[in-house]
Amino acid sequence: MGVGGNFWDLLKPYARKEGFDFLRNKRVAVDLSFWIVQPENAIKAMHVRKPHLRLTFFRTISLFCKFGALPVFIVDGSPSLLKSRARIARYFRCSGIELANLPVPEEGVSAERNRLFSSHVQECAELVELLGMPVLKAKGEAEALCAQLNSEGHVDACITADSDAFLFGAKCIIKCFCPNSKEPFECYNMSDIEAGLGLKRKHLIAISLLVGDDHDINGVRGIGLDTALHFVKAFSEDDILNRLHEIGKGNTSQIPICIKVEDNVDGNSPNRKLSHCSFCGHPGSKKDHMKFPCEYCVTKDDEGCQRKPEDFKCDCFSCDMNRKHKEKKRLENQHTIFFHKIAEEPNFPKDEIIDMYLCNDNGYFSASDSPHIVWGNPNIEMLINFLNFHQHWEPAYVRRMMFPMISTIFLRDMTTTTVETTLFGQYEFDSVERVKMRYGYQFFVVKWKRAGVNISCKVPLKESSVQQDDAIELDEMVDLLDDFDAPEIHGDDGCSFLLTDENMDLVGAAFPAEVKRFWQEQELKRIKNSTSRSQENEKSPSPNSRSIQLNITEFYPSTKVKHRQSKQGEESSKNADSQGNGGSKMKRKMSSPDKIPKSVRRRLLFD
Amino acid sequence: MLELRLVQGSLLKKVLESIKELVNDANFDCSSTGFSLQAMDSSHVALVALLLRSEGFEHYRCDRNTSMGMNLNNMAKMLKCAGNDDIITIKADDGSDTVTFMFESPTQDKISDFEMKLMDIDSEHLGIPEAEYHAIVKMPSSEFARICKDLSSIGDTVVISITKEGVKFSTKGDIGTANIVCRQNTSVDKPEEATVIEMNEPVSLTFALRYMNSFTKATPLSNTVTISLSNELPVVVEYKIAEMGYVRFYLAPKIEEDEEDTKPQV
Repeated sequence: MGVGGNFWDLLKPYARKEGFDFLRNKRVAVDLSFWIVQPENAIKAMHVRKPHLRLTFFRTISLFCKFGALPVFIVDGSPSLLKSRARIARYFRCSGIELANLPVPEEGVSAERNRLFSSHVQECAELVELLGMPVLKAKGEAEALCAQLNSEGHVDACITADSDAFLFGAKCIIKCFCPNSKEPFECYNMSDIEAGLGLKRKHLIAISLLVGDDHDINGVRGIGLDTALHFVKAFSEDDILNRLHEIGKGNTSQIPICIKVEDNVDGNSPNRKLSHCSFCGHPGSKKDHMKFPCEYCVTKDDEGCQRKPEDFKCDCFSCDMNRKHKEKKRLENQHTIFFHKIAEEPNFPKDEIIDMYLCNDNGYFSASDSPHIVWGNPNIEMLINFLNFHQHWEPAYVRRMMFPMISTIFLRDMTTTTVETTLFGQYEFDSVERVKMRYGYQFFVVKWKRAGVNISCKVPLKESSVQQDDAIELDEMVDLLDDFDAPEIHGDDGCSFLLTDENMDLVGAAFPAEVKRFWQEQELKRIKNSTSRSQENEKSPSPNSRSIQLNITEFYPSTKVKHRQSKQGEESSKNADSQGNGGSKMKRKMSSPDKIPKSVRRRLLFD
Repeated sequence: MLELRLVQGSLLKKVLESIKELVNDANFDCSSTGFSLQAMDSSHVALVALLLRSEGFEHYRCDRNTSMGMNLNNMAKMLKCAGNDDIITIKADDGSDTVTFMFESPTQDKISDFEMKLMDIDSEHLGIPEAEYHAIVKMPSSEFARICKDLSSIGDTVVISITKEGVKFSTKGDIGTANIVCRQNTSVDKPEEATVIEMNEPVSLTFALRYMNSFTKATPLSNTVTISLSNELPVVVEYKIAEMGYVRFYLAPKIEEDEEDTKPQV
């Protein structure tokens, strides 16, 4: 929900579509409830076992491995009294029950969310903890804690669709998160909103108080987003909340009027409007203007005044003052209505709401010490038990799905420690297989070799493992929300390999010698291709062939150069040219354009 | 997104067969006006330009200008799976790294779906100016293919000379020489069997026959071929593609190293 009145539409012009590497090595606060609500709405018709767990599992791995982010998961605490009341009111309004029957929650007791949802949150929190991700519990709103961590610099961005986060102090919000696209992140920065709209945090709080939000659905009756925006912009950030307090108490006389009007207005001017001629519209009388033209009408001396055109507006001093006076009256009236609406609202503005938004104590840690945010290693055995119990996944399947996370952690740890050299105690780094292009970005396909496999027992192990995976795959539905690439299983002469897509910088830092060797091999391949091509051109030359072959680029200038990096390792070699009979001698001579005669250049319109 | 639907799918098959021998990889450029390609062979001696105008497609949707890099051999393998009477649809999403070819049999009882990976190809685009030609020859494409094939069994270069008598194709090799003269011939019953020569100035140019033979792979596309020549400029060999475009081959000439020995007898 968040701020009402199409608040996101107001911010839409300031959305930034960020690319694939936007979150690499960035700490990201994730509102876990938001992740759980989304699949339950989208996958209601599908019979997927515990979609909230499935989505959280695969999405966490994508966030961690594919995008290189460091997620911090935030769990909701108890909702505030105001939010409980607002939620109950919304429920009653939707169900058509009379508002008179609205129950008043007991003082000090807030209604918890429904038990099913709470258990889902608890399960997901347990899952991400087993995956090694930090989980923090908020005192109240999860987005409040997300925003506080962002504001205080503990995280770099928040993933939430709740616009409240800006009011709680967030600086960078990722509203949409679509892993299957080239620009997966729809990002909003507070600095852009300040620069573009002139709104700071307290301005946004004032707007939410006027328009309505999660804690007070209606806001002030009769005030919409445009009116609120217009009013709020007139004050500085430090002033705006004080002004709302004064208006709420009815002290409108102290509020300075926004429009500056000249102070030299004569009190009697409305009553002293000059009489105007009904013929030409200028000051004077019609009788006088029949004889002599007035000074406003520029005509010959022998003619009278000109008839006034339609939509005529007199621009004499008196009428100008009169119009300004009317405009001032209209604005004063408008402000009076505005202030009156605010004053009519009981207990406006609510200090509880303002204090909630401005509070910087949303988590169970004090300002002196930082929150406990540490990314550890996943607990594989507990994960296998957890997922086997909840999702009925086989241990082999869990290990295979977990492999990208283990390989990513392994590659990161390689730059700091060299304690362990195998993954799951079975697989070790073998080589860089090739470069892979996904959504316009390049990845290394890394080959992981199974270590220490006995030759005698390789056949039954491999077959049973493959059959198991095939059986499990049939049960898995295609996930509509997330794209996940399981590691490829590759068998080669008695050894089994796993192939994963890894970040190029990460692999380069972990195994620099291997990467260098890979690039050298690519270079050798390219040279070999060009060598074989030139060899074809140098086939047995005919003794009678003594002509020089010209180059097509000498005749036609290059107009557009597309410098895009070639996809290496996947270029197929050219088919042998068997059509040439004997092959002619090819001497490619790079002659300068000056060699081309003038007539030729003139004909080609080079000059 | 991009979506092109071609009822006469065999045209696309023939196009690929005609250019895949010359070019390994190429960028297909799609815009609102049509589907086009420009690519050079690996030694930069020949250039191929293809245009399929959007009006020639039954359905043509191109939301924004896009460029798709493809390996032409792989693409030809995909199109081989289409029947000669199939309807071919090409689809690609914006920013996608794959292209989809859909083949529908005329009776719609068989629909095939092939997806091919795209490549990022570093390519150069040459500006081809409008040029006036000294001589233009229009002749049956099968005749031209036959001439190139016959001459390549004798030598490896061809001298094309155009005079008022006609067009002469000459070659010289270890075993001897060969000359083929085609006179202007406009009195035949079928217009596609005519040989028409427009000459403003006599022309004589030398070209590598292996490239000419590669060009003649486009013979199935059109009954006639148009050969445009100017002295000291590349030759243009053009095949029309039904009513919807053309494929043009440009070939740089050869310069005689020793004028005395190889000057052709006019």
